[in-house]
Amino acid sequence: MTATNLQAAPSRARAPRKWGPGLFAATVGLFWLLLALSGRDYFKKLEQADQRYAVTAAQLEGVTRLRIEGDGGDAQGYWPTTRVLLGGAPEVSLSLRMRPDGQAAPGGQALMSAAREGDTLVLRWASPRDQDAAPPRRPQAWVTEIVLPAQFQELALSHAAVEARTAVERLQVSGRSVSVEGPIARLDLLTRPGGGACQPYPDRARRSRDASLTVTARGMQTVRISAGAGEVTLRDSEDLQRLELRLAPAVALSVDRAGALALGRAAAGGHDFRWADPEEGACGRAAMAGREAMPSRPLDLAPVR
Amino acid sequence: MSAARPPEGARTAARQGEGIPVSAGNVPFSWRRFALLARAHGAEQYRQYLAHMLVTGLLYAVLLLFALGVSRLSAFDTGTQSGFYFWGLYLTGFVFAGRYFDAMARRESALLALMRPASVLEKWLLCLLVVAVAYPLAYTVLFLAISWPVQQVVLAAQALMERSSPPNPADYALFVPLLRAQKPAQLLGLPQQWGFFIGLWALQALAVAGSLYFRRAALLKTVALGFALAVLTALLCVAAGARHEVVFAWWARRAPAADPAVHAFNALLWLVLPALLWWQAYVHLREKELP
Repeated sequence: MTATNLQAAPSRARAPRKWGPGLFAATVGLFWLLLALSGRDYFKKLEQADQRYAVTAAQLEGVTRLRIEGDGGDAQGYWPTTRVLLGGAPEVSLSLRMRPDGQAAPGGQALMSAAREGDTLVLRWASPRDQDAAPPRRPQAWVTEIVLPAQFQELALSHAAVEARTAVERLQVSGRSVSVEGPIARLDLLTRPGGGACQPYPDRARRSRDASLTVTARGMQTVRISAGAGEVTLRDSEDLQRLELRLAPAVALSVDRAGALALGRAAAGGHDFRWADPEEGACGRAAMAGREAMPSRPLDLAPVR
Repeated sequence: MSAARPPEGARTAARQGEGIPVSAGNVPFSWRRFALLARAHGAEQYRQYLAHMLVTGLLYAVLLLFALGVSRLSAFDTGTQSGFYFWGLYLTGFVFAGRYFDAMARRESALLALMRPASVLEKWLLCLLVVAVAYPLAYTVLFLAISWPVQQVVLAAQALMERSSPPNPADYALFVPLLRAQKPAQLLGLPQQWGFFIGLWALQALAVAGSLYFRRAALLKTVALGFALAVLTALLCVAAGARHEVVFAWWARRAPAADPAVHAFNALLWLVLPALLWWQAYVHLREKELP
């Protein structure tokens, strides 16, 4: 074999081409492309828009109290917080949201109804929450936001973040897990263990799980907090002139500065904290349910487009 | 040398005369060869599979002891059972799939496994059958065999315990996958369960493909690759604003939108992509075979 023949011979055998890695890259690429496509505006119409309802101002004359019945009680493991905006609107408007995999109400019926009981606006779930929520008790729907006129002075709800948008002279809030902030001259805050009815905590393990009261006291003058369980937090207490704490011995307390406790001591006449028995009204029963039963009159809860 | 070697067809015919088909020849699939392959695979692997199921059962029992002890026997409602079922199925199903072609990764058994007288298609089909069908079935039987007595014990013990609110036995119904839920608002509906099974098959395909592609520490490398891809996917979802209403449209409790684009999207995502991953496993297997 000559040198010329060697040069003319085929150089070397090639390894068979591997398609696997390329196919995997293409599969991952397609996966990512699909995910990116789902974010396109074309699919925006499928987004879960909140259902919005309103109670007109004409139906709210003389109404100063709000109560939500059927929200997450102790049976629920988790309940989303409702944002409550007080002031700056002539009518009550609320936004409802369904769980992404939640079932719509049968027959397209409304999830919630509104009624008036004397001076109280009652918002009531169409079906009791503890019945339609499957283990581990997650709600199918919840109120994301409520906007209230400034005339409301008492609120009874379960899980809420209340914010006063205008100056308010007096506000009483009772709930299971509540935070309050805004320019409220006199604030009364009470724990209310159950969702609708006010009953003692049934299970020790649940007491401290989500029972909490939080006050951001900037712009507030007088704050009174009554809690039978869970934790109480006070923030931004520089403007505060009077603080009254009625806490059960097991309640965890957190304040932003030691001086706030001195306000409480002065108010309590030399005692640090006082605790009233739940039967006495610390759970908010005296605040709302202690009144005479008033006739219930249905209100029009109009959908807002 | 090549002149002394009998032609391929003759060798195959000679062996077939003895009843042992050693070459796939030009036929990609033969039922008889497939059955022989399945028998050989079962005879070789059944001890390992039994050991896998034993370890899975022990892990589930230990998990139940811990969970029920901590929760004072309350962590066994139907929703929690379904969580135990699918978490266990995903974890053990991934490991099982990643170890299916273990013999090919070991030096001492690789040659024997590669020379097994069956076509690539037959080996791949047997893998699909064992990993994606037989294993979930066996796992389900094991899950029910452990869960049923535990459920009876939990219900009996709860009846004896003094509680302020007595538990509802319907909440603690035995979770049987793909069986119609007793309560309509059960945590996992049937469509969602099908979604979980398809997700499992995609994950198992990834494990099989990884075990065929990586030469050493294949399972570990596949997990690392999967983790990296999951992080990148999460970032992409945030950046692109991926919508769960579209991605999970087939598995939502409410009826999916009538938009054909949504159905096409879901078909690509939930049918074509898992099929592509299993096809990829097939390609890796073919490329690993001796030419």
